[in-house]
Amino acid sequence: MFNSILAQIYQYLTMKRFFNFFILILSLTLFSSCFEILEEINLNADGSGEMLVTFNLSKSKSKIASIMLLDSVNGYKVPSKEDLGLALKEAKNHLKTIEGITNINTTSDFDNYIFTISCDFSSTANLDAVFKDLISKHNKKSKTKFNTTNFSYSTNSFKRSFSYDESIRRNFYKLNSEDRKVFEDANYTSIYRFENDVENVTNTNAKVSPNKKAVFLKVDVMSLILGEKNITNTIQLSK
Amino acid sequence: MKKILLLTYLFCIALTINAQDLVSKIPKDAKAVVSIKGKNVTDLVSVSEFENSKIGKLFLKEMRNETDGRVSNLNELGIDLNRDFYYFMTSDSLSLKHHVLVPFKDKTGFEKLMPERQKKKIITDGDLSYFVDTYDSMITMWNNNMLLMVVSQETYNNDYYSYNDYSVEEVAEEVVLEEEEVEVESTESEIEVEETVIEPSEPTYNNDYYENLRKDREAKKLLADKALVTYAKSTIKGNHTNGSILKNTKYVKAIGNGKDEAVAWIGDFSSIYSDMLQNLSYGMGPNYLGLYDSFQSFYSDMSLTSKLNFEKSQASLKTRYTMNNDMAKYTEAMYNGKMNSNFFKYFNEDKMLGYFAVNISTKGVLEAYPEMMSKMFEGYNDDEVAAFVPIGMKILSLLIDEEGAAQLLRGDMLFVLTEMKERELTYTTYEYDENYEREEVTKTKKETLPGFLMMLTSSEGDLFHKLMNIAVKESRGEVTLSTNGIYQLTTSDLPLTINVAYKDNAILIGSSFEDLVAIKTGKFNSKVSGKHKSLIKKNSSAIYVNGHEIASTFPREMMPNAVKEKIDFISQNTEDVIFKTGKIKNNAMEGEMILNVPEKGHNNSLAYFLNMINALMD
Repeated sequence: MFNSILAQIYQYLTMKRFFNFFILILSLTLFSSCFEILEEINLNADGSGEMLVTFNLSKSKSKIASIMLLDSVNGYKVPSKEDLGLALKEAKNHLKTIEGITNINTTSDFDNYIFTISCDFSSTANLDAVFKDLISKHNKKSKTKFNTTNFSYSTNSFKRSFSYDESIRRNFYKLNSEDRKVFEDANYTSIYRFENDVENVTNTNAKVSPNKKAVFLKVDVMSLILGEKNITNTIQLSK
Repeated sequence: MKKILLLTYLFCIALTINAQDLVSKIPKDAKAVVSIKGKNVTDLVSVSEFENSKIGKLFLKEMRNETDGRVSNLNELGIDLNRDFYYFMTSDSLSLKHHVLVPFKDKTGFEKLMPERQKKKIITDGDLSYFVDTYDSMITMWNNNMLLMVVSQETYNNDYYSYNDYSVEEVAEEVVLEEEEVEVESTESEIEVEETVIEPSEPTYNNDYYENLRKDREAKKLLADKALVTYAKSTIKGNHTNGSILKNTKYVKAIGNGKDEAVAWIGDFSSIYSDMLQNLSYGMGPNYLGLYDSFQSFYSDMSLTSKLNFEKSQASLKTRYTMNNDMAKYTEAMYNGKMNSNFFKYFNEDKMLGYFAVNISTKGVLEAYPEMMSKMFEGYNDDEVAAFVPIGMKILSLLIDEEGAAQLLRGDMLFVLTEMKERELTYTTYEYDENYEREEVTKTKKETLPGFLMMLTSSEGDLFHKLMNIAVKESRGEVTLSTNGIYQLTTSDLPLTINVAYKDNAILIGSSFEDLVAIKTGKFNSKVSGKHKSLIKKNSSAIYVNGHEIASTFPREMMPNAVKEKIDFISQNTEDVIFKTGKIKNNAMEGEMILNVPEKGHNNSLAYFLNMINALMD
């Protein structure tokens, strides 16, 4: 009896294993696992503005759809759609607690795996407050030196800061080679739009639009991880 | 005449085995035996070949580190790698005993492995040396010829604290606490403290009780250790009342000609379960609530033999599971499926990456299952359970129409990984105008994906079409019906479109629309050899993985060079893998895992593994 049940469980497990094997082949063959992060800020002359962050995983959607059929990959639990929805909801709830942050919206498109979060802010200090606690805690726990001030605006000068810490590279090399590939084709893009004209920018990779109202910067995530490129940029605006 | 031939055969085998000594240390009534034929293994891969491999070097490096350089190669270990190694298990109503036998050519090698503090624990008795690990009930005993390790695992212990042991008076609890506190403060003079400081106001019979319990347990432990030493000495001398395992005809017959590299044998499941039930039923006897009777009816006369072989062009693990008449009857009914021959018209083995075939009889399962459940509980000592389970099963059996269920799904299924195919996929990304206002655009890219086709036998074509038509109506566009009679399921939950069709008593579910159209119109170009037809039809389940095809068609364009090189190596050095479980024959079921390896570049299939590890290890 038990033997028969065991035999059937074995059959089921073999079957499940075979299907998992199939899905794994499927996800392995979809080798390009690229994603893009888009950070857009429309800044008003008084320092208030709106921000939109987009995570676009559409180029890897077949791979993600395959992976999401599995329970775990490379030892990591695969989040379900509900988990991802919950994470966005938690992010929204966190933003609600920050003073000066209003009009918070999130969207999730599970056909293309595109997720967005947007909000209005009264000043750039409100944006810093979003991650300030998290960064401080991380610095204390992991003895890192990340800036807690990432956005600042004063006297017609907007500054996007990013302090590279060697721990990024260290942690990256702790990942196994399969996991590292996730970052190989990933991009980070920032677009900052202003009411006043842009006079100059400090980041040599940044481009200013012909109408001088926007600054565009696209960096591959690998360069950011390895510290080869930086997104720090001071943008001087006309008075 | 047949009996004489059988006896002669068994005698010859016993003689062959006798020449290889350590087996005589295993008693006739051992419940499980695992043997590794050292000579067979070293003939396939020599000690020096192993030592010069990457994994061998790693092993030696670890050994040198562990022994502070006292042992630097396999020869210095003193183990005779050309003789046989054994594991065996014995059990009785009190304990399970696990044994390991290792052949020595020189005991000093083994002694060199031990750190100095361990050496101090060694006790010598004539040519025997040993040490006992009381905590784990383990003894390690050796002489110049062999090493024996025994781990004893109690299955019945009436020495547990009972509930009543803890129902002590408050005074006694205070005394115990006081004692603990004092002990923490002054560990150096424990005995004095116990004698002088503790002055309970009441007579401390409970304190004495615990002390007596402790002493009693220590005395029992000491006796158990002594018994273990006596037992190990007797085993190492091969003093067995009923003789050695070579007198067990079941074992001798099961291991056959002794040419396998490794053999695992379990002689009698029911007796192991009976011994283990002592523990499971909290010492209330093996037949507590009639449990043993139930086990006996299913597991009596059940044995298992697994044989591992490394041949020139294949490595195989063959397992034979023998069962009693009752169990064989049920299992045969369940696995007596019939594979639909039409399936062979629907795929082409030249492009195939692998398949998984299941050959179960739905009717057999539905008929045998209630019968098995009834039989299992009929000996149960709980009257209600014994009465109601058979009634419940009978009602279930009456409610289920076995024939009808088998019409719906007969029980045979074939899942084929058809081919690697390039296809075009769309994705969303962004483009920016000159003022960096973003615009969402749809682009296309090419990806290579494996295709699949799943086939299930069903005589209920009408029901299939009715259900699918409901899905078309109710799925809000996710399920559509093409003019060719192919249903298509497209949803973001799936990485590809699934196509479903019905043809000649078979439900077909696949990734390729074109293939299903070709199958539906009878234009599919199929090709399946006799080898695969036989593997799929004659077994109750079979898995085939075409490792060479998978590795060689793996999309390389996106891979880093290091990975490409490894995939190329695997592609050049991989053949196929087969897992199969046969049908019931003479009350036995056989399963086999076969790894076919290329003969070119490898002396044999064991050397193949070493070569693969060498090539793939970073």
